[in-house]
Amino acid sequence: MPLQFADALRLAAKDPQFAADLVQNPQNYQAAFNLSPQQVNGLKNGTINDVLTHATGQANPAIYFG
Amino acid sequence: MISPQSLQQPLSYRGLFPRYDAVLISVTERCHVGCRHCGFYGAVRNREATLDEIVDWTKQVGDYPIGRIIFTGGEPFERVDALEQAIDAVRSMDRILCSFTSSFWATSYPQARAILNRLSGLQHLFLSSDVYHQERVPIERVFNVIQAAFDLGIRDITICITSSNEAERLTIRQQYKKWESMLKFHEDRVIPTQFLPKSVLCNQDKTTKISPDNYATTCYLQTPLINPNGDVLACHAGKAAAHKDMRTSPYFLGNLRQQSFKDIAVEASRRWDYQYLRTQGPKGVAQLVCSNPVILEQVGRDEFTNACDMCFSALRTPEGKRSLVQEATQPQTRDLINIRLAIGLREAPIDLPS
Repeated sequence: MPLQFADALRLAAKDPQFAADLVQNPQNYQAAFNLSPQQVNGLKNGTINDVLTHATGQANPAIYFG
Repeated sequence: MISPQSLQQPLSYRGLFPRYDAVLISVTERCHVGCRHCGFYGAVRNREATLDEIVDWTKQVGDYPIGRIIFTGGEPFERVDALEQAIDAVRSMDRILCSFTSSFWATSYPQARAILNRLSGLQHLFLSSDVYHQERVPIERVFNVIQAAFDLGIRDITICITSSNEAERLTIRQQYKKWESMLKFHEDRVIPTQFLPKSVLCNQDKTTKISPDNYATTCYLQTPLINPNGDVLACHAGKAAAHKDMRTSPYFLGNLRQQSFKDIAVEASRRWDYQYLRTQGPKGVAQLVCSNPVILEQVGRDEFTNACDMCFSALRTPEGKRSLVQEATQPQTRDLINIRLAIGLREAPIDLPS
């Protein structure tokens, strides 16, 4: 069975080196993981920086009417 | 620019366990202080956990891969016995243990010290202090807690200021001048629920017109809440369950009287609507709202005090819930969720159809 987008992401979740390359050069993986043009764009698009906000794990613990 | 280094945070692969910053455990919904700005204002607040349940739930959270446990309420110090036993149960687990309080109980320095002594292991205090709390709790009691905490080696203290307007915020900040360099501050706006009295609602500073540009993709959704009836909800918005059952809300994740915390977290990790919220945050909710005018019609306003106000107001409407489910079925949205899950949070992506 050919590799899919989900396979690329599974690999990326486990391998930061691969993840970095995948989001910077998704076109290089288009054939290997059968990525659609939308998926390549999704990986490339600017909101990927938000991903890194998540990755820092620095969000404040929840506050409000404590 | 994304580099391999920037992705090589000290974060390990999480698989099906969502990465949470902390878990909030509501020890009780009770609080006799009765501030007029409180989110519980007008609610029945009669749900309680047994001592054994609180200890068990705290242990379950301690067993989950998480750095921080935060006791909240209501007022957790209404049940110091429960707080004491819960802390005892996880003290050896290398978790950062924190608690909210209004400081009502610190009638003197010796009293503050005596109570905190019983809670050895507590490392971070979130002290609710604002014009509303201080109408009911003399600010000297907050000072007693701060002094006792520092003397007992509790160095992390955050003053949580909730205000309707800038003047209220400054009034309180002024009170902490002498402590300024030793304290952290968290400042937020009152969430104007329908239950609050007019005396609070009429003093609101300007609110923000909804636009995705005004919101971030991260928020308190990385900190789930356990209510005293065992309900686990996606974030502190779940405290509103004291007003109305939230088991049909997208924030609801499960109940600890029926399932373990780990099982609830793993099940939730496979839910597209929940992962939409976790990965797209308030910005994603604002996108939903802005693409469907019926949501705002049902909300009844288009300006909000903060992200939580906007998110909760939108997702409590039938159209808001429907839009969330609908959006989370879109293939491109699912791709975006999975990108953020896998690369940002290093969690297992949700299986996509091949």
